[in-house]
Amino acid sequence: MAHLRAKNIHLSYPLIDRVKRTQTAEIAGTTDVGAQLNNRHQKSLQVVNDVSFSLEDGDRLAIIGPNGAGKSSLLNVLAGIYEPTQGILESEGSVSAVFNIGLGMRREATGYRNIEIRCLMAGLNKTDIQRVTRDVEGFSGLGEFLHLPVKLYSRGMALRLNFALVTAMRADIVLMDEWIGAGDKEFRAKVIERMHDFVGSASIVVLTSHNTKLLQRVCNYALWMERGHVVKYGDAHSIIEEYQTETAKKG
Amino acid sequence: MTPLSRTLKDLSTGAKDWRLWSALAKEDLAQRYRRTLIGVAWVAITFGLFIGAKVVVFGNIMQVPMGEYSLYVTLGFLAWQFISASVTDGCGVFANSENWIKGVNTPLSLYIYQAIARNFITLFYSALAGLLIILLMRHPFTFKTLMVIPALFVYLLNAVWFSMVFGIVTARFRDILHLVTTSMRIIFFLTPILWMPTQLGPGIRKYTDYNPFTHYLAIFRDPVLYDQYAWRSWLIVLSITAVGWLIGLIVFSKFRKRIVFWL
Repeated sequence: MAHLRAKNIHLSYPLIDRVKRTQTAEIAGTTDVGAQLNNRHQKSLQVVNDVSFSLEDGDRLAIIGPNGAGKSSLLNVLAGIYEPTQGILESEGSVSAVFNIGLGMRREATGYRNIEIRCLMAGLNKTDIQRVTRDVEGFSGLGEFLHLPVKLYSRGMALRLNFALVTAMRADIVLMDEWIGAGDKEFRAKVIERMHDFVGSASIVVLTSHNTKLLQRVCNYALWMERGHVVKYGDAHSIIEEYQTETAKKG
Repeated sequence: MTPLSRTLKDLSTGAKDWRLWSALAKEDLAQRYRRTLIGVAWVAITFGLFIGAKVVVFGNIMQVPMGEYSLYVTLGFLAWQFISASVTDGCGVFANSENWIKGVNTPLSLYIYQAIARNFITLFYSALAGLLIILLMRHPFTFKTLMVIPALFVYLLNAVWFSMVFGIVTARFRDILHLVTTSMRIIFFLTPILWMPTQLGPGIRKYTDYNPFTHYLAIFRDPVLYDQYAWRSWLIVLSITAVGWLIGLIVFSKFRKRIVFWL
């Protein structure tokens, strides 16, 4: 049984590049994006502030909010890439973070070699690697091209490889920064079907997206964030509805 | 979990991923020599030619028998190449793996092992050329020659702590990489690799003794060349290793989770 529980998660991001910031106290806080940037001597940015939730088997959480609300930072915490400054994260089950599907692709290496390296990175064993390789061969339709260096691939071919690879690695907990859906017309239908399979086979999914319709369809919980704080947390349908009315008012 | 036990866990789980870091290391090298006809054999050829040129040029200036001098340079340069690569790559170990570190949750020690494995493979190919030179010189092997094995092991241990400390410092302060790279070029000339301490006047000679690299080279070179254990150098090297590991564990425990924010 997989679970993912966040208890009072805080994250502050150190600001080390001393860029000249001309912002004064007067205009601070009037930006539409990001956490609060108060003065030019500020040493850190509070990007996630006191976030708690608890997800069990079958739960799908949508994280919504404007740009810079802390959605991706929170996902990075959940993925274990950022260690929270405060708070406790408890999880059980394998985690797959789908933030950048072209992650670590080595252009000089062949498609097969890239599959192997990415699988090893994900901690898969030999039999799983073989299974994923067969799966990618089948789905990507790249055939003999998998023997060639990735740098010879067209954009569309690279996308096929990356997408097939990412979705071939099943996990109990799937974290996604934006839903993946692209490709040429004929591939697109296959992508949609496979994404549903991929997400459906996970026991817990946490997802950010600007496509609120999709979030309402997929998720049962929603977490509305603004400037690192939780505005609302609860039933996906009503919260996303409320969020939409709110943003429509502002816009 | 305490920060120290997290550090130890990072180091051990990273080590267990040997299939991954050795694959990444091999891929690094393959990339360097991609589309060349002879591939990594270039490592051995470069090493051999380098030694040849140095012996021809400096061998005539130094008042040392040519045979002894060529072995001296071969062994010293072999060790130096690995040490120097470990030092410069140790600095860039996290900065160079920015994409992976920001994209997947893996032990950070993985990238340290990757760099060390890469340099060790290079050392292996250079050593083949080195071995050929030693055989051509008909230099005798003795039981003490085996001391190169613990010496290499100590090199590896040092590469780990050095990367833990300087990988982190460089991730935060990028100037360090340039400072260290420049320093290593200078240290190459200040370390007895091309010249022998005995050729210096006694006034200056004592300063080579203060150079830690002198001792790192001695534990590798002296047993093969002079049939001596170089115990004193061993003592110095092991002390530095112990202190280095202590600093490494402290620095890594304190800053490990911050690295990702500095990249």
